[in-house]
Amino acid sequence: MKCRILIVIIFIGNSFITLAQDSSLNGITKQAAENSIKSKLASPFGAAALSNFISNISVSSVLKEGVNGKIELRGKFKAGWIGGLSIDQKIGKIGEEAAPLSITGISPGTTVQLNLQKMFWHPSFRMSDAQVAKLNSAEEAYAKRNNIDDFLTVGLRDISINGLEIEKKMALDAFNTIHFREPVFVNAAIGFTKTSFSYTTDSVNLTQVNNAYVTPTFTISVIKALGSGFKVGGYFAISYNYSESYTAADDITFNIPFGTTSNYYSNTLAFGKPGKQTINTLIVEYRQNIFIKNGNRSVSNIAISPSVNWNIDGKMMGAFLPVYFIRGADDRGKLLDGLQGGMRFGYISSTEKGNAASFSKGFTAQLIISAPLDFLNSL
Amino acid sequence: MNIQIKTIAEGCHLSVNVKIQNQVLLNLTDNDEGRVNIFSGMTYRFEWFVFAAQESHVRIEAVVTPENDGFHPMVLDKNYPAGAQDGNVFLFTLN
Repeated sequence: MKCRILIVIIFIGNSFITLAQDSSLNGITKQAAENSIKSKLASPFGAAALSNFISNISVSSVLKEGVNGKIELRGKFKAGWIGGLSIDQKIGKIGEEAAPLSITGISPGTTVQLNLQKMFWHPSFRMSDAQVAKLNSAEEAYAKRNNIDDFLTVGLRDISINGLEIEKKMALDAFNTIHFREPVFVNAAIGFTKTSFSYTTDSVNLTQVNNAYVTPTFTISVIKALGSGFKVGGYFAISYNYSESYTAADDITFNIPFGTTSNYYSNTLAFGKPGKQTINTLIVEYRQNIFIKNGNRSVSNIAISPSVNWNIDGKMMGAFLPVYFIRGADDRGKLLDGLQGGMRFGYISSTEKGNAASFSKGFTAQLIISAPLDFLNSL
Repeated sequence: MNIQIKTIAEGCHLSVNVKIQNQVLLNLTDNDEGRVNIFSGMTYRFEWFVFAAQESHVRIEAVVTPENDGFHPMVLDKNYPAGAQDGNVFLFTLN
C-alpha cells in the first residue's frame, strides 16, 4: 500500500515538473516568436515583402527598443532578375555608432541578408487585328493633331491624358484588354544574424560565459502587383518566414559577500544556456499607393502598407500599419532627391484565447528615415 | 529581312513583343536586345508595355534590315512619373 502511494506521489510530482517545463518551453517559444516579429518591425522596411527598387541607406527608431540602421544594395539583371545585399545593424538604445563587420566576421546584432527576386510578366493585348487597326487610325489622327511625327511612338497613356473624350475612352478600353497586365514577383531572401549572450551555468562561482550564435533566416514571398487603369496601385503579398533564434534564460540577481567583509554586491546574470528556437511565420501584406494629382502628373505622396504576421509556433500575432511619405516631384516631374520618411505602428499580441495584450503593452511605433543611394542605380 | 529591337528601362519594367497570329516571335524584357527574321506580305503585331513603380525612363529602338517602307525606324523615348503604366500595339506589314 505504502509502495502504491509512493508511486502515485512520484507520478504527480513528475507531472508537475513536466507541466512546469512545458510552461517554461512555451514561454521561451513565445519570447522567440515575439522577438522574431519585433525584428521585422525594428528593421527599416523589414516587413515589406517586395524588395526596395533602389539602393538605399535607412535608419529606424523604435519606441522603447532602440535604433536600427540598414544599407541595401540593389542590382538589376536580365530577364526580370533583381538581386540585393543588405546589412542590418542594431545600434541599440543609446549607441552612437555601429560596426556591422569586424575582423572576425559580422558583429553581434547584425543581420546580413542576400535577396533574389524574379519577375513573371507576360502582358499581351487581347484585341483582334481589326480592333488594332481601328485603334491605330485613331492614334494617327491624335498624332497629327498634336504634331507628333511618328504615331507609333504614342502611348495609350498619352492619349488618356491629352486626347479627346472619345480617344480617352478608346485608349482605356484598349488598355483594359491587356492580359497579365501587372507582374508577379517571387522574392527569396536568406540571411544570417549574429547574437551574443552572457550567462552562467555555475551557481557556485557564477563564472560568466560569453557566447555568440549565428542563426539563419529564410523568407519566400509571392507578390502580385495591383493596378487600376494607367496607374500602379500597390501590391498584395503572401510570405513565409523560417528563422532560428536563441533566447536568453531569465536573469537572476545574486547577492554575493564582498570578501570577508559584511558588505555584499549584486551580480545579475542569465542562469543557463540560451534556448534555441525555430520560428515559422506567415505574413500577409497589402500595399496601397495614394497618388495626389498635380496638374496632368500623378505624384506618389503616401503609401500605406498594412500587414499581419502570424507566428505559428508561438501563437503570436503582429499587425503593422506603416505609412510612408514618399519623396515628391518638382514642377518638371523630376523626383526630389534626399530623405524619405515613414512611420510604422504595430500591435503584437498572443493569439491564444483570452490572452490578447492590452493596447499599451502590445503597441509599438517606429520612425523610418531613408535616403536613396543614387550612385548605385547603375548597378 | 529581320527586325532588330533594343530596349532600355531605367527604374521600371518594360516588355516588348513581336507577334504573328498570336504567336510570340520575339519577347524582350527590361534592358535587352534581340532580332527576329520577318517576311514580306505578312502582318505582324508590335506590342510594348511599361510598368513604372517609380519615376523612370524607357527607350525602344526598332529597325528593319534591309530598309522597308512597311516599317520605318522607330525610336520611342518616354519618361514616366512614379506609379504609371503604359503600352500600345500596332500592326505592320513589310513590302
